[in-house]
Amino acid sequence: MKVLTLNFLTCAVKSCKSSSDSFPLHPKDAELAKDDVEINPQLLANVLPRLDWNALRTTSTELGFPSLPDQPPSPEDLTADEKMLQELHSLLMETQIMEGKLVCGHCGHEYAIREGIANFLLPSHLV
Amino acid sequence: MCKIIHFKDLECKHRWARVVRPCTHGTGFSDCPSFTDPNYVRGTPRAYIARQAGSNLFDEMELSTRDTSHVPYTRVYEPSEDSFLLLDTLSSPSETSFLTSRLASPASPSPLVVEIGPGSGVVLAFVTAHAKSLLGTSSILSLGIDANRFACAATTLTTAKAISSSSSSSEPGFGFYLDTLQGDLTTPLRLNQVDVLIFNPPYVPTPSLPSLLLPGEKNISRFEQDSHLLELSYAGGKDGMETTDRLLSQLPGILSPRGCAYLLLCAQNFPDKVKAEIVERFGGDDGWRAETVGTSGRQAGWEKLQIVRIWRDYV
Ligand SMILES: C[S@@+](CC[C@H](N)C(=O)[O-])C[C@H]1O[C@@H](n2cnc3c(N)ncnc32)[C@H](O)[C@@H]1O
Ligand SMILES: [Zn+2]
Repeated sequence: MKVLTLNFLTCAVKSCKSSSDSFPLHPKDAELAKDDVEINPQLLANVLPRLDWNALRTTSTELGFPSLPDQPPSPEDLTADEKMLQELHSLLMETQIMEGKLVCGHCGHEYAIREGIANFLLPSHLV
Repeated sequence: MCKIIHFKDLECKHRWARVVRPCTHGTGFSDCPSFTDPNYVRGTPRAYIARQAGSNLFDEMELSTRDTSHVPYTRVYEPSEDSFLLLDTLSSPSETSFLTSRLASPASPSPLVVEIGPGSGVVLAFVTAHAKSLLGTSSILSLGIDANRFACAATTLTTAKAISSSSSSSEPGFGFYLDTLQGDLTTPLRLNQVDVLIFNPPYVPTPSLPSLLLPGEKNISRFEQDSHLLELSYAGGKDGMETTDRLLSQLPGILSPRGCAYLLLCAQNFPDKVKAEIVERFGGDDGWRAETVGTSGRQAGWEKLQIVRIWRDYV
């Protein structure tokens, strides 16, 4: 599962949706892999404005990446800053969680990731 | 009536048919009345339709959806007439212009396209590989969610293959594929993020719905597992609407303000009633609309399929 995907996910438990603690989910025991993806500055510039930057900063730190700036770079910053572009590309588009768990900060439920596929189906007592 | 689909090999002209959706659970060639009924009309072989249409998009579609050799069709829904109706509708001029005008203004952030129940992945692969011609921009993100784990793996591979065949074309316009998650409908998603939602649901009326979790995974045979997963792909419960109804109730919370959904319905789902209820429940005064934008009609007695577009007219 790509790091970028995490920015769109919350806990699947209905009563967690309204809690700010259910986003982002927290990676645990994560095994990472890196794909080789061709860099696309235009895509990155269009994706950034729709991301929750604070959540991304949290995820990045939790996965052991260097910490991101407080504010997202503007499209102009991004085109000027080759290093930033490369770092964000690598984190968002190339980094995959292959094995591990995603933990909800509200209810504590752990979603397993196996072979890169995250499982959000809930056991029947949580549905 | 059971739905069967006819195939014709374009080279050797051999013809064959498969039951793609039994009319009730467990029926097939040997016991469904469709096959003894004289009014039964032969479907046109799909490959034939596509070649006749002769448009570039169709040729590309044939190319990019052909390679599903990795998909295990004993446990993942095989692309059928319903899947192709979705592809036809999404690539029709009226839908590409609707989507382009809503999503592709120069300064707008990347649209998120989500398919629920991608199965083999043909639809999501097609949309991702042809993002630029279908949605007006290649800066899209695409994501699948399927309850069937094998469908998740299949979709990722189908999409990767479609993208690699599109990237070698003269004008690549493919989007960025995120992942396919194992999950129940839209439950893993943050609220109001989805710009295009696509769902070809399990829509056949059945006495009950199979559970989303495989029963006691250890003690059941591979055959039982596979039957369960295939049942999950078509069994729709009462009026074939139980899963679709749950999706519909999630929709207003899932779509972004510019978002829209493409939903496949069959005649037994009472599509006119479904559309009227959507507008009534979501609020026609708030701009909610539900209209048929694609159909696959057949002679009397045949299951008729349609694609309903659900969206909000914002002014
Ligand atoms: C009719 S098949 C459509 C497959 C593919 N989209 C196509 O058009 O060929 C329905 C798909 O929905 C999935 N499905 C059924 N119930 C689901 C649920 N509650 N949540 C997510 N996926 C579900 C099935 O596993 C199956 O892959
Ligand atoms: Zn939770």
